[in-house]
Amino acid sequence: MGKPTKVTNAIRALRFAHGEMTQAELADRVDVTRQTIIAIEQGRYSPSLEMAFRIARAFNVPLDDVFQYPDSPEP
Amino acid sequence: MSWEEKSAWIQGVLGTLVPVVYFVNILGQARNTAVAKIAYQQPLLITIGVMIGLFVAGYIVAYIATYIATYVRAEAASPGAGDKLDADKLHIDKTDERDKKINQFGEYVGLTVLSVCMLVPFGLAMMDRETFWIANTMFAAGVVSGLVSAVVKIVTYRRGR
Repeated sequence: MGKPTKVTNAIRALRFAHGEMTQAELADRVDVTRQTIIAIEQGRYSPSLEMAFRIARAFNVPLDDVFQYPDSPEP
Repeated sequence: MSWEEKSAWIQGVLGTLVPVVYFVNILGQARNTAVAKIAYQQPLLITIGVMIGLFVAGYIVAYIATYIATYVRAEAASPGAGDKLDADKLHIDKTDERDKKINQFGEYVGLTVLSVCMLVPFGLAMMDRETFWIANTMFAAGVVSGLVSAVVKIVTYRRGR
């Protein structure tokens, strides 16, 4: 089994900044299951580029505002 | 829990329990009887048929249980909301790219395990051993690979990948 992703995200903060959008509402907008949104929020799943764009579009923000990747490799 | 994770649980639990009943019965006979005289063919086919039937029944029960749970939650949140639920629009069996990736990973590991386990009946056949052992080790290989596949999927759902 692979390692959980190093990609971090601001989905939780963005949901609350967008009228306390629920995970279910975001899942509907992105057309995925709520469990996948939960897994992404918790860093247990790194979405495809296409799904990442759909999530960013759901919040009307650039991709970088949603997902971040550490500059230097972990020791 | 997503639909695919429920399916993995159904596959793991039923795919283990049913063959265990078969093996306890057949291997129990093998202790007192020459394996060439054990009529394993019919029980083996019945076991496979029962597994397929129970898988289908398990999916149906899981679907109905999920719908009932959704109904109860909707009613608890807002009385009357449960009656307005549309089963077709709930997408209880919805899957997405994460489900597909986890499913592919589980099937890949299961297939690898099956390939290795199949070396046993292959070796038995080359040594001209009884068909009882060849058939049953082939079945056991399928059971083990199915179980490993289900466990890998469940663990991946829980821990991520």
